[in-house]
Amino acid sequence: MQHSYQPLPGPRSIRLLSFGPGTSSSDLICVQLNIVDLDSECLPGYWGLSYTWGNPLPSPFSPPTRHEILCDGKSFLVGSNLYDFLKRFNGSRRCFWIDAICINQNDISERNAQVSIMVWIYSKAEGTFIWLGESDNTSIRSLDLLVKFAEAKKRLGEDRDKILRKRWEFNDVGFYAAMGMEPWSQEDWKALLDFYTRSWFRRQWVMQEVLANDQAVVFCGGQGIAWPHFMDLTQFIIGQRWGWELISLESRFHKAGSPLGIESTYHFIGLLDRKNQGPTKPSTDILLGILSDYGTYSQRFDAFVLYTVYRLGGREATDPADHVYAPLSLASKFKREEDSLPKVDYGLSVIQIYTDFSYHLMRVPRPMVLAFREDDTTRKLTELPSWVPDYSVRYSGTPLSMRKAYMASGKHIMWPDDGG
Amino acid sequence: MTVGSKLSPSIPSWNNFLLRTVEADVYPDLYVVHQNRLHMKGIRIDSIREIIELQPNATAAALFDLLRIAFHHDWSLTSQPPLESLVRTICADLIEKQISFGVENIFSWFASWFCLISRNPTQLSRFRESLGQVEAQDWDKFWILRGKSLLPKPDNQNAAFAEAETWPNSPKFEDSLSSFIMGRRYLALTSTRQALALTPLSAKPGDEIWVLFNGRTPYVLCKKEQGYYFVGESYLHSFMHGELSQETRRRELI
Repeated sequence: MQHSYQPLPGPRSIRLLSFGPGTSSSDLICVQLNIVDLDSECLPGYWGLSYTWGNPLPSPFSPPTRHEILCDGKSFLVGSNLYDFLKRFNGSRRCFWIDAICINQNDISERNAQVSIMVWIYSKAEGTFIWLGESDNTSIRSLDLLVKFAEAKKRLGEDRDKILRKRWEFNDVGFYAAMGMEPWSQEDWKALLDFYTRSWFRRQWVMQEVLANDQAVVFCGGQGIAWPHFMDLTQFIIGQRWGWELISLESRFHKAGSPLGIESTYHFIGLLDRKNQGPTKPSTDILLGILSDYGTYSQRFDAFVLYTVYRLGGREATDPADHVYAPLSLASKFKREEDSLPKVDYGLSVIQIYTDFSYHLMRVPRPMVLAFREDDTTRKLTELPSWVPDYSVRYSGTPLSMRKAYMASGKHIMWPDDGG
Repeated sequence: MTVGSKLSPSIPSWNNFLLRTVEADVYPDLYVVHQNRLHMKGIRIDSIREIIELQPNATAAALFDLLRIAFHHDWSLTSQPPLESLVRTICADLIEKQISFGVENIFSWFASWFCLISRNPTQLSRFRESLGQVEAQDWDKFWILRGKSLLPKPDNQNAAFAEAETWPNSPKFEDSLSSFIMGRRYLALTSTRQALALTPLSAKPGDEIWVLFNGRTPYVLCKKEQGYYFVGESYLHSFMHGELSQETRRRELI
């Protein structure tokens, strides 16, 4: 018998997954769904799962295999990566929220509604559970290294900041000595490179899934590490600009032209300090350049939405609509009653979603949206109106319009109600 | 704001235009989207006459192309010497912002680049011929960058070569150039005003440069039968700080 969903009773109702007792008649993994309300006082503890729907490794050849599980006693099909997760944690007493199972993916209006509250689903959870996929030799080695580095960092005394902030040559022996670690081999670094190229790092949704909650754990197979410790080494490598040294260890990544996980991770860090501030307190980067023109929170909110899409957009997504909807979901956390955001509607065409979104953001003065319109040579969706940026392409560089110094149309901004 | 008729024909007038279709002036707002077409107001500054690609590893011929465009642009648009305008255009005038390089470094890299080619007497005279009629004083003025002439003194060729050796070497310059131009862009010369511009890769001669209401930068638009096709943002040297709207306002008062 095929599984069928019970409708969700309220706009902030969600389904939570727990592992059920297996039936004696089958070896299939059994899960059950319970409907709860996000605002209920007795909301049970649960973890929001962050994972990739496709192949967790950057292999271009991944036949979509589906595996059968039992959901509420009925047959249900899941992708391989999710199946690996369920197999690994089968029997766990934790509850999870997993988009592929907890949202009825065939019901567009339910999907629209759930995506609109996605940021709340992740932020009300106990934490975000990051599943990078089943382990392999390189991931086991990498997690060991991540733990080693975090432990070494903890052991450092007063000169911790001095040692970590100093600019080291890649693989400098002095660096290992200062950290009190055995030197790492070429194979160690190659393993890390492989690890950072896992698909998860490039997915569109993961940004808001991690940024929505302060707590996160990273799991690869049965090994796990807390997010702050995962970030210890990651942040260090980025701070030292060792990313390119890493890439040069393995020329095949040049050929594949695949963006490295470590670069994608870099964009997390830029946002981490801003995650609970939203449009009110911009940190000292280019966002200030946009925000300087605005007085009210609503105006700043519009600019913040545009900025979020600029910084988070163009990553990997199964549905091109998510290049807009995933960043919007993060921004919605800072939305007040009087601010407006375009409605999530997966029923519309991508062209319409991108166009409506751009029109909405024409409210940001100094037609900033137009500045993100990339060159024709990099556009993928050719049917888009020419003035609409292609959000499925990552904008590289900084638009000239982000520079405060330019005011080609004059210093004074005209607002729509000034008349024509 | 509708002052078009009061302006002389050579001055672009405030226009309503659509980025896909031209329709009557029915939209009172600054911008409206109707059937996925954006309707907004703006002013046409100029069109693109000539365009050349900026390449970090440019050949001598391409460098002379740059210099030729710099020579032919309207020097009087700014109070800067022509080569300085060229350097500032290539960097989108973000020279002061490139903290890691420093203003003097940028100019000396460019100077060494121009210098190296001006030290070749044959190439130099061929270049001068290609410019057509050139006044001697314009020629001398053209080669001044940061108060220093890049032309070799005729009586002391060897010393001039020795001096060129002391400029920072060009490979480093090529590295920094690719970071200045922030992705591949074109250097363009405009038709009427003969201003220098940076345009997106897909711009082509004949495309128009517009300032749209509230826009921080001018935009390149391509006129098509059904309306305007949006090409991308651009940098137009000496029109980045509202010079155009001041100009229009001044005209209006007459």
